[in-house]
Amino acid sequence: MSQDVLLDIKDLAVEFSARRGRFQALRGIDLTLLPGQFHALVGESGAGKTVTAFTILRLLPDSARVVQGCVSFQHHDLLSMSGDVLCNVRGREISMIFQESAKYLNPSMRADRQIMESVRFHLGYSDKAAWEYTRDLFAKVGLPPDRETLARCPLEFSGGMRQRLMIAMAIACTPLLLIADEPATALNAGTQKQITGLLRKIRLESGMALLYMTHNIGLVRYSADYISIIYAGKIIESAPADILFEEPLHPYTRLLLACIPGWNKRGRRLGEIRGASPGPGDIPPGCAFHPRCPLAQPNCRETVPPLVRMKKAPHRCACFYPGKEFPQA
Amino acid sequence: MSGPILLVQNLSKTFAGAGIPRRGRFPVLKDVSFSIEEGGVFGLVGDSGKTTLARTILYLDPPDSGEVFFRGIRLSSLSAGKLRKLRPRMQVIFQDPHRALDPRLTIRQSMEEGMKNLGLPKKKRGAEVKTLLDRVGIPWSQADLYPREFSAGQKQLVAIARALSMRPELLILDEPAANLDVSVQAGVINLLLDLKGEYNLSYMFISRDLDLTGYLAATLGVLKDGRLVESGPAEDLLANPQHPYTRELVENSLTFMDLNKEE
Repeated sequence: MSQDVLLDIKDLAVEFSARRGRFQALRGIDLTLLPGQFHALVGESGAGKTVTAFTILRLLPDSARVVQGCVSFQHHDLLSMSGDVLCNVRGREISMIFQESAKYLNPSMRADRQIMESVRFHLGYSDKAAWEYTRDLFAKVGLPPDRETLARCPLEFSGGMRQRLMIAMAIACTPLLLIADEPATALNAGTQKQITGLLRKIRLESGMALLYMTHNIGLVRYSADYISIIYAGKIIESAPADILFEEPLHPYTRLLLACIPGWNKRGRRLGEIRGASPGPGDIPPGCAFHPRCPLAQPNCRETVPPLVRMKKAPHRCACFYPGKEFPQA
Repeated sequence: MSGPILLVQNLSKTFAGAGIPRRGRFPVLKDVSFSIEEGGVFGLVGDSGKTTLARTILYLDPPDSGEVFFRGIRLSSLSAGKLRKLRPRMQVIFQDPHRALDPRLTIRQSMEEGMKNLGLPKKKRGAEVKTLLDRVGIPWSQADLYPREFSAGQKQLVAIARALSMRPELLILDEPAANLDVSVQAGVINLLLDLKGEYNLSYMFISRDLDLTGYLAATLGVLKDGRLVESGPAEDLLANPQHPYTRELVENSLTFMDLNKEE
Protein backbone atom coordinates (compact mmCIF):
# COMPACT_ATOMS: atom_id res chain seq x y z
CA MET A 1 0.00 0.00 0.00
CA SER A 2 2.98 2.24 0.22
CA GLN A 3 3.21 2.51 -3.53
CA ASP A 4 3.24 6.27 -3.70
CA VAL A 5 3.74 7.65 -0.25
CA LEU A 6 5.82 10.79 -0.33
CA LEU A 7 6.64 11.28 3.31
CA ASP A 8 6.18 8.70 5.98
CA ILE A 9 6.85 9.46 9.62
CA LYS A 10 6.61 6.50 11.94
CA ASP A 11 6.59 6.59 15.73
CA LEU A 12 8.94 9.56 15.87
CA ALA A 13 10.12 10.67 19.27
CA VAL A 14 12.45 13.59 19.89
CA GLU A 15 14.01 14.56 23.17
CA PHE A 16 15.70 17.75 24.28
CA SER A 17 18.30 17.81 27.00
CA ALA A 18 18.38 20.89 29.15
CA ARG A 19 19.97 21.75 32.45
CA ARG A 20 16.95 20.49 34.34
CA GLY A 21 16.89 17.14 32.61
CA ARG A 22 15.39 15.70 29.49
CA PHE A 23 12.19 16.79 27.86
CA GLN A 24 10.18 14.85 25.39
CA ALA A 25 9.09 17.19 22.65
CA LEU A 26 7.67 14.51 20.37
CA ARG A 27 6.33 11.26 21.77
CA GLY A 28 5.60 9.06 18.81
CA ILE A 29 4.35 10.95 15.79
CA ASP A 30 2.76 9.07 12.90
CA LEU A 31 2.16 11.04 9.76
CA THR A 32 1.77 10.06 6.12
CA LEU A 33 1.75 12.42 3.19
CA LEU A 34 0.79 11.48 -0.33
CA PRO A 35 2.22 13.37 -3.30
CA GLY A 36 0.39 16.61 -3.89
CA GLN A 37 -1.53 16.46 -0.64
CA PHE A 38 -2.26 19.52 1.52
CA HIS A 39 -1.83 18.23 5.03
CA ALA A 40 -2.38 20.59 7.95
CA LEU A 41 -0.80 19.86 11.30
CA VAL A 42 -2.81 21.77 13.88
CA GLY A 43 -1.76 22.28 17.46
CA GLU A 44 -1.38 24.90 20.14
CA SER A 45 1.93 26.45 21.10
CA GLY A 46 4.39 23.95 22.45
CA ALA A 47 2.60 20.96 20.97
CA GLY A 48 5.54 20.04 18.73
CA LYS A 49 4.73 21.46 15.31
CA THR A 50 8.02 23.20 14.73
CA VAL A 51 10.03 20.31 16.16
CA THR A 52 8.32 18.00 13.67
CA ALA A 53 9.24 20.32 10.81
CA PHE A 54 12.82 20.70 11.97
CA THR A 55 13.21 16.95 12.41
CA ILE A 56 12.14 16.27 8.84
CA LEU A 57 14.75 18.68 7.51
CA ARG A 58 17.34 17.71 10.14
CA LEU A 59 17.57 21.26 11.42
CA LEU A 60 17.31 20.36 15.10
CA PRO A 61 19.81 21.96 17.47
CA ASP A 62 22.50 19.86 19.12
CA SER A 63 20.53 19.62 22.33
CA ALA A 64 17.89 17.53 20.58
CA ARG A 65 18.07 13.83 19.90
CA VAL A 66 15.83 11.53 17.89
CA VAL A 67 15.03 8.75 20.35
CA GLN A 68 13.06 6.46 18.10
CA GLY A 69 11.13 6.26 14.89
CA CYS A 70 11.93 7.04 11.30
CA VAL A 71 11.24 9.65 8.69
CA SER A 72 11.29 8.37 5.16
CA PHE A 73 10.97 10.53 2.11
CA GLN A 74 10.31 8.63 -1.09
CA HIS A 75 11.47 5.53 0.75
CA HIS A 76 14.80 7.05 1.72
CA ASP A 77 15.53 7.44 5.38
CA LEU A 78 16.11 11.14 6.01
CA LEU A 79 17.45 10.60 9.51
CA SER A 80 20.41 8.52 8.43
CA MET A 81 21.14 10.36 5.19
CA SER A 82 24.68 11.68 4.78
CA GLY A 83 25.26 15.41 4.77
CA ASP A 84 26.10 15.57 1.06
CA VAL A 85 22.96 13.81 -0.01
CA LEU A 86 20.90 15.85 2.41
CA CYS A 87 22.21 19.03 0.79
CA ASN A 88 20.64 17.94 -2.46
CA VAL A 89 17.35 17.16 -0.78
CA ARG A 90 17.03 20.34 1.21
CA GLY A 91 15.83 23.20 -0.91
CA ARG A 92 15.56 20.91 -3.94
CA GLU A 93 13.13 18.14 -2.95
CA ILE A 94 11.92 19.49 0.38
CA SER A 95 11.87 23.14 1.23
CA MET A 96 10.49 25.13 4.07
CA ILE A 97 9.06 28.51 4.88
CA PHE A 98 9.27 29.80 8.39
CA GLN A 99 7.03 31.82 10.62
CA GLU A 100 9.32 34.78 11.10
CA SER A 101 10.34 35.62 7.59
CA ALA A 102 12.56 38.44 8.81
CA LYS A 103 14.73 36.02 10.75
CA TYR A 104 15.40 33.68 7.89
CA LEU A 105 16.19 36.14 5.12
CA ASN A 106 19.34 38.14 4.81
CA PRO A 107 17.99 41.63 5.46
CA SER A 108 20.60 43.47 3.46
CA MET A 109 21.23 41.16 0.53
CA ARG A 110 19.36 41.88 -2.68
CA ALA A 111 16.20 39.80 -2.93
CA ASP A 112 16.98 38.45 -6.39
CA ARG A 113 20.47 37.28 -5.38
CA GLN A 114 19.06 35.33 -2.44
CA ILE A 115 16.83 33.36 -4.73
CA MET A 116 19.39 33.00 -7.51
CA GLU A 117 21.77 31.37 -5.05
CA SER A 118 19.71 28.20 -4.77
CA VAL A 119 18.64 28.22 -8.41
CA ARG A 120 22.28 28.22 -9.51
CA PHE A 121 23.28 25.62 -6.95
CA HIS A 122 20.46 23.14 -7.45
CA LEU A 123 19.47 23.69 -11.05
CA GLY A 124 22.83 24.76 -12.46
CA TYR A 125 21.48 27.84 -14.21
CA SER A 126 23.75 30.56 -15.53
CA ASP A 127 23.52 33.99 -13.90
CA LYS A 128 21.36 35.38 -16.65
CA ALA A 129 19.00 32.43 -16.80
CA ALA A 130 18.74 32.37 -13.01
CA TRP A 131 17.84 36.05 -12.94
CA GLU A 132 15.14 35.64 -15.56
CA TYR A 133 13.82 32.62 -13.71
CA THR A 134 13.74 34.64 -10.50
CA ARG A 135 11.79 37.39 -12.21
CA ASP A 136 9.16 34.85 -13.26
CA LEU A 137 9.04 33.56 -9.70
CA PHE A 138 8.36 37.06 -8.44
CA ALA A 139 5.36 37.30 -10.72
CA LYS A 140 4.15 33.91 -9.60
CA VAL A 141 4.09 34.80 -5.90
CA GLY A 142 2.53 38.20 -6.53
CA LEU A 143 5.57 40.44 -6.14
CA PRO A 144 6.07 43.13 -8.79
CA PRO A 145 8.48 41.52 -11.27
CA ASP A 146 10.37 44.67 -12.16
CA ARG A 147 14.09 45.35 -12.03
CA GLU A 148 13.65 47.77 -9.16
CA THR A 149 11.79 45.43 -6.79
CA LEU A 150 14.10 42.55 -7.58
CA ALA A 151 17.08 44.62 -6.57
CA ARG A 152 15.64 45.68 -3.26
CA CYS A 153 16.58 44.12 0.07
CA PRO A 154 14.15 42.25 2.35
CA LEU A 155 14.72 45.08 4.82
CA GLU A 156 12.63 47.29 2.57
CA PHE A 157 9.79 44.79 2.24
CA SER A 158 6.63 44.60 4.32
CA GLY A 159 5.85 41.44 6.31
CA GLY A 160 3.52 40.10 3.63
CA MET A 161 6.05 40.81 0.87
CA ARG A 162 8.82 39.09 2.83
CA GLN A 163 6.65 36.03 3.26
CA ARG A 164 6.02 36.05 -0.50
CA LEU A 165 9.74 36.33 -1.10
CA MET A 166 10.35 33.34 1.15
CA ILE A 167 7.71 31.38 -0.73
CA ALA A 168 9.41 32.30 -4.01
CA MET A 169 12.68 31.03 -2.60
CA ALA A 170 11.08 27.85 -1.33
CA ILE A 171 9.39 26.93 -4.60
CA ALA A 172 12.31 28.02 -6.78
CA CYS A 173 13.47 24.47 -7.37
CA THR A 174 9.94 22.99 -7.63
CA PRO A 175 10.21 20.81 -4.56
CA LEU A 176 8.04 17.75 -4.03
CA LEU A 177 7.28 18.81 -0.49
CA LEU A 178 6.93 22.25 1.00
CA ILE A 179 6.83 22.59 4.75
CA ALA A 180 5.17 25.78 5.94
CA ASP A 181 5.54 26.49 9.64
CA GLU A 182 2.92 29.07 10.65
CA PRO A 183 3.60 31.05 7.46
CA ALA A 184 0.74 33.46 8.05
CA THR A 185 0.57 33.86 11.81
CA ALA A 186 2.38 37.16 12.11
CA LEU A 187 0.36 38.76 9.32
CA ASN A 188 -2.99 40.47 9.43
CA ALA A 189 -6.18 38.62 8.62
CA GLY A 190 -6.48 39.64 4.97
CA THR A 191 -2.85 38.85 4.22
CA GLN A 192 -3.16 35.52 6.05
CA LYS A 193 -5.86 34.43 3.67
CA GLN A 194 -3.87 35.67 0.67
CA ILE A 195 -0.75 33.76 1.69
CA THR A 196 -2.68 30.57 2.40
CA GLY A 197 -4.52 30.99 -0.89
CA LEU A 198 -1.24 31.55 -2.73
CA LEU A 199 0.24 28.38 -1.27
CA ARG A 200 -2.83 26.47 -2.30
CA LYS A 201 -2.67 27.84 -5.82
CA ILE A 202 1.00 27.02 -6.20
CA ARG A 203 0.38 23.54 -4.89
CA LEU A 204 -2.36 22.93 -7.44
CA GLU A 205 -0.20 24.22 -10.28
CA SER A 206 2.98 22.42 -9.42
CA GLY A 207 1.62 19.30 -7.77
CA MET A 208 3.84 19.59 -4.74
CA ALA A 209 2.70 18.36 -1.36
CA LEU A 210 2.23 20.84 1.44
CA LEU A 211 2.70 20.20 5.12
CA TYR A 212 1.22 23.22 6.84
CA MET A 213 1.72 23.77 10.56
CA THR A 214 -0.71 26.15 12.20
CA HIS A 215 -2.49 26.83 15.45
CA ASN A 216 -5.44 28.33 13.60
CA ILE A 217 -7.66 25.45 12.60
CA GLY A 218 -10.12 27.83 10.97
CA LEU A 219 -7.54 29.02 8.46
CA VAL A 220 -7.03 25.57 6.94
CA ARG A 221 -10.60 24.37 7.20
CA TYR A 222 -11.43 24.99 3.57
CA SER A 223 -8.00 24.60 2.04
CA ALA A 224 -6.48 21.47 3.57
CA ASP A 225 -7.21 17.95 2.32
CA TYR A 226 -6.19 16.36 5.53
CA ILE A 227 -5.88 17.61 9.10
CA SER A 228 -3.92 16.09 11.95
CA ILE A 229 -4.28 17.43 15.46
CA ILE A 230 -1.18 17.35 17.62
CA TYR A 231 -1.30 17.62 21.40
CA ALA A 232 1.68 17.40 23.74
CA GLY A 233 3.93 15.78 21.15
CA LYS A 234 1.47 13.20 19.87
CA ILE A 235 -1.04 13.11 17.03
CA ILE A 236 -4.39 12.57 18.67
CA GLU A 237 -6.68 12.73 15.68
CA SER A 238 -6.21 12.65 11.96
CA ALA A 239 -8.81 12.77 9.23
CA PRO A 240 -9.79 14.35 5.91
CA ALA A 241 -10.71 17.97 6.65
CA ASP A 242 -14.44 17.71 6.04
CA ILE A 243 -14.80 14.56 8.15
CA LEU A 244 -12.82 16.14 10.99
CA PHE A 245 -15.12 19.14 11.09
CA GLU A 246 -18.33 17.19 10.69
CA GLU A 247 -17.51 14.37 13.04
CA PRO A 248 -14.67 15.22 15.38
CA LEU A 249 -14.12 12.32 17.74
CA HIS A 250 -11.34 13.18 20.16
CA PRO A 251 -12.56 15.27 23.13
CA TYR A 252 -9.73 17.74 22.59
CA THR A 253 -10.67 18.30 18.95
CA ARG A 254 -14.32 18.71 19.86
CA LEU A 255 -13.60 21.23 22.61
CA LEU A 256 -11.14 23.06 20.37
CA LEU A 257 -13.78 23.51 17.69
CA ALA A 258 -16.19 24.86 20.29
CA CYS A 259 -13.59 27.48 21.25
CA ILE A 260 -13.55 29.08 17.81
CA PRO A 261 -15.56 32.31 17.86
CA GLY A 262 -17.91 33.23 15.08
CA TRP A 263 -20.80 35.62 14.67
CA ASN A 264 -23.21 32.77 14.28
CA LYS A 265 -22.44 31.99 17.95
CA ARG A 266 -23.54 35.39 19.26
CA GLY A 267 -25.09 35.23 22.69
CA ARG A 268 -23.79 31.72 23.30
CA ARG A 269 -20.76 31.06 25.46
CA LEU A 270 -17.64 29.81 23.74
CA GLY A 271 -16.34 26.41 24.71
CA GLU A 272 -13.61 26.28 27.27
CA ILE A 273 -10.91 23.77 28.02
CA ARG A 274 -10.05 23.78 31.68
CA GLY A 275 -6.40 23.97 32.67
CA ALA A 276 -3.54 24.59 30.27
CA SER A 277 -1.56 22.57 27.73
CA PRO A 278 1.22 20.70 29.50
CA GLY A 279 4.78 21.83 28.84
CA PRO A 280 7.27 19.23 27.60
CA GLY A 281 8.57 18.83 31.16
CA ASP A 282 5.32 17.81 32.80
CA ILE A 283 3.38 15.61 30.43
CA PRO A 284 0.92 13.55 32.47
CA PRO A 285 1.09 9.76 32.26
CA GLY A 286 -1.49 7.88 30.23
CA CYS A 287 -3.41 10.06 27.81
CA ALA A 288 -1.74 13.48 27.99
CA PHE A 289 -5.11 15.18 27.77
CA HIS A 290 -6.78 13.33 30.67
CA PRO A 291 -6.41 16.06 33.34
CA ARG A 292 -8.41 18.43 31.13
CA CYS A 293 -10.79 15.90 29.66
CA PRO A 294 -14.44 15.72 30.75
CA LEU A 295 -14.57 12.06 29.72
CA ALA A 296 -11.48 10.89 31.61
CA GLN A 297 -11.75 7.46 33.26
CA PRO A 298 -9.20 5.63 35.43
CA ASN A 299 -7.70 3.77 32.47
CA CYS A 300 -6.98 7.09 30.69
CA ARG A 301 -4.60 7.94 33.52
CA GLU A 302 -2.62 4.75 33.13
CA THR A 303 -2.55 3.72 29.51
CA VAL A 304 -1.64 5.79 26.51
CA PRO A 305 -4.43 5.37 23.96
CA PRO A 306 -3.04 4.34 20.55
CA LEU A 307 -3.90 6.16 17.34
CA VAL A 308 -6.32 3.70 15.76
CA ARG A 309 -8.60 3.57 12.77
CA MET A 310 -12.19 4.61 13.31
CA LYS A 311 -15.23 3.29 11.48
CA LYS A 312 -14.99 5.79 8.63
CA ALA A 313 -11.88 4.58 6.87
CA PRO A 314 -9.09 7.16 6.93
CA HIS A 315 -10.21 8.70 10.21
CA ARG A 316 -7.85 7.90 13.08
CA CYS A 317 -8.16 8.91 16.70
CA ALA A 318 -6.22 8.26 19.91
CA CYS A 319 -8.91 8.02 22.56
CA PHE A 320 -10.58 5.22 24.49
CA TYR A 321 -13.95 6.94 24.28
CA PRO A 322 -14.10 8.58 20.85
CA GLY A 323 -17.21 10.60 20.22
CA LYS A 324 -18.79 9.84 23.59
CA GLU A 325 -21.23 12.44 24.85
CA PHE A 326 -19.86 14.93 27.36
CA PRO A 327 -21.43 14.81 30.83
CA GLN A 328 -23.54 17.87 31.68
CA ALA A 329 -21.60 20.24 33.86
CA MET B 1 -26.83 60.64 33.32
CA SER B 2 -27.75 58.79 30.18
CA GLY B 3 -26.22 59.26 26.77
CA PRO B 4 -23.09 57.76 25.35
CA ILE B 5 -20.18 56.93 27.65
CA LEU B 6 -17.77 57.78 24.85
CA LEU B 7 -18.35 60.16 21.99
CA VAL B 8 -15.74 60.59 19.31
CA GLN B 9 -16.18 63.43 16.84
CA ASN B 10 -14.27 64.03 13.60
CA LEU B 11 -11.00 62.70 14.97
CA SER B 12 -7.97 63.17 12.71
CA LYS B 13 -4.36 62.33 13.32
CA THR B 14 -1.23 62.53 11.22
CA PHE B 15 2.29 61.30 11.81
CA ALA B 16 5.45 62.85 10.47
CA GLY B 17 6.52 61.21 7.22
CA ALA B 18 9.66 59.12 6.86
CA GLY B 19 13.06 60.26 5.70
CA ILE B 20 15.54 62.95 6.63
CA PRO B 21 14.42 65.66 6.43
CA ARG B 22 10.92 64.42 7.27
CA ARG B 23 8.75 64.40 4.21
CA GLY B 24 5.35 65.89 4.92
CA ARG B 25 2.67 64.50 7.19
CA PHE B 26 1.23 61.04 6.88
CA PRO B 27 -2.47 60.83 7.72
CA VAL B 28 -3.39 57.89 9.95
CA LEU B 29 -6.90 58.77 11.08
CA LYS B 30 -9.28 60.76 8.92
CA ASP B 31 -12.41 62.24 10.36
CA VAL B 32 -13.42 59.33 12.59
CA SER B 33 -16.70 59.67 14.50
CA PHE B 34 -18.61 57.13 16.58
CA SER B 35 -20.10 56.69 20.02
CA ILE B 36 -20.35 53.94 22.60
CA GLU B 37 -23.51 53.63 24.68
CA GLU B 38 -23.43 52.92 28.38
CA GLY B 39 -22.88 49.18 28.82
CA GLY B 40 -22.30 48.72 25.08
CA VAL B 41 -19.65 46.83 23.18
CA PHE B 42 -18.23 48.65 20.19
CA GLY B 43 -16.15 46.41 17.95
CA LEU B 44 -13.55 47.95 15.68
CA VAL B 45 -12.16 45.93 12.78
CA GLY B 46 -10.10 46.92 9.81
CA ASP B 47 -6.56 47.55 8.68
CA SER B 48 -4.15 50.23 9.84
CA GLY B 49 -4.94 52.85 12.43
CA LYS B 50 -6.77 50.77 15.03
CA THR B 51 -4.19 51.10 17.79
CA THR B 52 -3.60 54.74 16.92
CA LEU B 53 -7.30 55.35 17.35
CA ALA B 54 -7.20 53.73 20.81
CA ARG B 55 -4.21 55.82 21.85
CA THR B 56 -5.78 58.98 20.50
CA ILE B 57 -9.04 58.40 22.36
CA LEU B 58 -7.08 57.97 25.58
CA TYR B 59 -5.13 61.14 24.82
CA LEU B 60 -1.89 59.19 25.01
CA ASP B 61 -1.36 60.79 21.60
CA PRO B 62 -3.63 63.83 21.33
CA PRO B 63 -5.45 64.17 18.01
CA ASP B 64 -4.64 66.87 15.43
CA SER B 65 -8.28 67.82 15.27
CA GLY B 66 -11.62 66.55 16.50
CA GLU B 67 -12.96 65.93 19.97
CA VAL B 68 -13.30 63.06 22.42
CA PHE B 69 -16.00 63.22 25.09
CA PHE B 70 -15.96 60.81 27.99
CA ARG B 71 -19.29 60.98 29.81
CA GLY B 72 -19.80 64.41 28.36
CA ILE B 73 -16.38 65.66 29.49
CA ARG B 74 -14.39 67.13 26.63
CA LEU B 75 -10.90 65.67 27.00
CA SER B 76 -9.19 68.50 25.12
CA SER B 77 -10.45 70.94 27.76
CA LEU B 78 -8.70 69.13 30.63
CA SER B 79 -5.36 70.04 32.15
CA ALA B 80 -2.72 67.31 32.37
CA GLY B 81 -3.54 66.81 36.04
CA LYS B 82 -7.28 66.50 35.50
CA LEU B 83 -6.67 64.13 32.61
CA ARG B 84 -4.57 61.93 34.88
CA LYS B 85 -7.39 61.87 37.40
CA LEU B 86 -9.79 60.76 34.69
CA ARG B 87 -7.58 58.05 33.25
CA PRO B 88 -8.42 55.31 35.76
CA ARG B 89 -12.00 55.43 34.53
CA MET B 90 -10.96 54.47 31.02
CA GLN B 91 -8.51 51.60 31.08
CA VAL B 92 -6.74 49.94 28.19
CA ILE B 93 -5.52 46.42 27.64
CA PHE B 94 -2.93 46.01 24.93
CA GLN B 95 -2.17 43.14 22.67
CA ASP B 96 1.17 42.22 24.13
CA PRO B 97 0.87 41.22 27.79
CA HIS B 98 4.65 40.75 28.04
CA ARG B 99 5.18 44.43 27.63
CA ALA B 100 2.19 45.56 29.68
CA LEU B 101 3.65 44.40 32.99
CA ASP B 102 6.80 45.71 34.62
CA PRO B 103 9.24 42.77 34.71
CA ARG B 104 10.82 44.05 37.93
CA LEU B 105 7.61 44.00 39.94
CA THR B 106 5.73 40.99 41.23
CA ILE B 107 2.21 40.91 39.94
CA ARG B 108 0.93 41.92 43.38
CA GLN B 109 3.18 45.01 43.32
CA SER B 110 2.12 45.77 39.77
CA MET B 111 -1.49 45.70 40.81
CA GLU B 112 -0.99 47.74 43.98
CA GLU B 113 0.93 50.43 42.13
CA GLY B 114 -2.18 51.86 40.52
CA MET B 115 -4.28 51.52 43.66
CA LYS B 116 -1.74 53.56 45.59
CA ASN B 117 -2.38 56.39 43.19
CA LEU B 118 -6.07 56.02 43.78
CA GLY B 119 -5.29 56.50 47.46
CA LEU B 120 -6.45 53.15 48.74
CA PRO B 121 -5.07 52.21 52.18
CA LYS B 122 -2.65 49.32 52.34
CA LYS B 123 -4.98 46.79 53.94
CA LYS B 124 -7.70 47.42 51.41
CA ARG B 125 -5.23 47.09 48.57
CA GLY B 126 -4.22 43.61 49.66
CA ALA B 127 -7.80 42.47 49.92
CA GLU B 128 -8.66 43.98 46.55
CA VAL B 129 -5.74 42.27 44.82
CA LYS B 130 -6.85 38.96 46.29
CA THR B 131 -10.45 39.40 45.16
CA LEU B 132 -9.47 40.40 41.65
CA LEU B 133 -6.85 37.71 41.10
CA ASP B 134 -9.35 35.23 42.41
CA ARG B 135 -11.93 36.51 39.96
CA VAL B 136 -9.74 36.15 36.90
CA GLY B 137 -8.54 32.74 38.06
CA ILE B 138 -4.96 33.36 39.17
CA PRO B 139 -4.25 31.48 42.42
CA TRP B 140 -3.41 33.75 45.36
CA SER B 141 -0.31 31.65 46.00
CA GLN B 142 1.15 33.05 42.76
CA ALA B 143 0.70 36.71 43.64
CA ASP B 144 4.34 37.18 44.56
CA LEU B 145 5.72 35.76 41.34
CA TYR B 146 7.18 37.87 38.54
CA PRO B 147 5.52 38.26 35.13
CA ARG B 148 8.13 36.06 33.44
CA GLU B 149 6.89 33.11 35.50
CA PHE B 150 3.46 33.24 33.89
CA SER B 151 2.27 32.08 30.50
CA ALA B 152 1.05 34.63 27.96
CA GLY B 153 -2.58 33.83 28.72
CA GLN B 154 -2.07 34.23 32.47
CA LYS B 155 -0.27 37.53 31.95
CA GLN B 156 -3.25 38.77 29.99
CA LEU B 157 -5.49 37.76 32.92
CA VAL B 158 -3.25 39.73 35.28
CA ALA B 159 -3.45 42.74 32.96
CA ILE B 160 -7.25 42.47 33.06
CA ALA B 161 -7.27 42.20 36.85
CA ARG B 162 -5.02 45.25 37.09
CA ALA B 163 -7.24 47.26 34.80
CA LEU B 164 -10.24 46.31 36.94
CA SER B 165 -8.47 47.48 40.08
CA MET B 166 -8.81 51.02 38.77
CA ARG B 167 -12.60 50.60 38.86
CA PRO B 168 -12.93 51.63 35.23
CA GLU B 169 -16.14 52.39 33.41
CA LEU B 170 -14.76 51.89 29.92
CA LEU B 171 -12.25 49.26 28.87
CA ILE B 172 -10.43 49.64 25.59
CA LEU B 173 -9.33 46.17 24.55
CA ASP B 174 -6.74 46.32 21.80
CA GLU B 175 -6.39 42.81 20.39
CA PRO B 176 -6.49 41.32 23.88
CA ALA B 177 -6.45 37.76 22.61
CA ALA B 178 -4.49 37.97 19.37
CA ASN B 179 -1.35 36.22 20.59
CA LEU B 180 -3.11 33.49 22.52
CA ASP B 181 -3.96 29.93 21.59
CA VAL B 182 -7.56 29.37 20.59
CA SER B 183 -8.53 27.56 23.79
CA VAL B 184 -6.87 30.20 25.96
CA GLN B 185 -8.47 32.95 23.90
CA ALA B 186 -11.90 31.43 24.50
CA GLY B 187 -11.30 31.53 28.26
CA VAL B 188 -10.26 35.20 28.16
CA ILE B 189 -13.26 36.16 26.01
CA ASN B 190 -15.72 34.32 28.26
CA LEU B 191 -14.20 36.06 31.28
CA LEU B 192 -14.46 39.48 29.64
CA LEU B 193 -18.13 38.91 28.85
CA ASP B 194 -18.83 37.86 32.45
CA LEU B 195 -16.93 40.80 33.92
CA LYS B 196 -18.81 43.25 31.77
CA GLY B 197 -22.04 42.59 33.66
CA GLU B 198 -20.44 42.23 37.08
CA TYR B 199 -18.52 45.51 36.93
CA ASN B 200 -20.88 47.55 34.75
CA LEU B 201 -18.33 48.01 32.03
CA SER B 202 -18.52 49.30 28.49
CA TYR B 203 -16.06 47.92 25.97
CA MET B 204 -14.32 49.15 22.91
CA PHE B 205 -13.02 45.94 21.37
CA ILE B 206 -10.35 46.22 18.71
CA SER B 207 -9.39 43.24 16.61
CA ARG B 208 -8.59 42.32 13.05
CA ASP B 209 -10.51 39.08 13.54
CA LEU B 210 -14.06 39.68 12.35
CA ASP B 211 -15.18 36.24 13.53
CA LEU B 212 -14.27 37.23 17.08
CA THR B 213 -15.35 40.87 16.97
CA GLY B 214 -18.63 40.01 15.30
CA TYR B 215 -19.21 37.40 18.00
CA LEU B 216 -19.12 39.81 20.90
CA ALA B 217 -19.78 43.36 19.67
CA ALA B 218 -23.22 44.94 19.59
CA THR B 219 -22.05 47.72 17.30
CA LEU B 220 -19.33 47.40 14.68
CA GLY B 221 -17.11 49.94 13.01
CA VAL B 222 -14.87 49.23 10.04
CA LEU B 223 -11.67 51.20 9.67
CA LYS B 224 -10.05 51.32 6.25
CA ASP B 225 -7.05 53.51 5.49
CA GLY B 226 -7.77 55.58 8.59
CA ARG B 227 -11.38 56.25 7.70
CA LEU B 228 -14.39 54.72 9.40
CA VAL B 229 -16.02 53.46 6.23
CA GLU B 230 -18.98 51.75 7.82
CA SER B 231 -20.53 51.39 11.24
CA GLY B 232 -23.79 50.22 12.70
CA PRO B 233 -25.49 47.45 14.67
CA ALA B 234 -23.41 44.31 14.27
CA GLU B 235 -26.22 42.11 13.02
CA ASP B 236 -27.22 44.49 10.23
CA LEU B 237 -23.68 45.20 9.22
CA LEU B 238 -22.74 41.52 9.03
CA ALA B 239 -25.94 40.52 7.24
CA ASN B 240 -25.83 43.39 4.81
CA PRO B 241 -22.39 44.97 4.43
CA GLN B 242 -22.46 48.10 2.28
CA HIS B 243 -18.86 49.12 1.73
CA PRO B 244 -16.79 46.88 -0.58
CA TYR B 245 -14.09 46.53 2.06
CA THR B 246 -16.59 45.39 4.68
CA ARG B 247 -18.03 42.94 2.20
CA GLU B 248 -14.57 41.56 1.58
CA LEU B 249 -13.97 41.17 5.32
CA VAL B 250 -17.30 39.46 5.83
CA GLU B 251 -16.89 37.12 2.90
CA ASN B 252 -13.39 36.17 4.00
CA SER B 253 -14.48 35.32 7.49
CA LEU B 254 -14.76 31.77 8.62
CA THR B 255 -18.30 32.24 9.91
CA PHE B 256 -19.46 33.38 6.49
CA MET B 257 -17.97 30.29 4.86
CA ASP B 258 -19.59 28.13 7.55
CA LEU B 259 -23.02 29.65 7.09
CA ASN B 260 -22.95 29.31 3.35
CA LYS B 261 -21.81 25.77 3.51
CA GLU B 262 -24.70 24.75 5.70
CA GLU B 263 -27.28 26.25 3.39
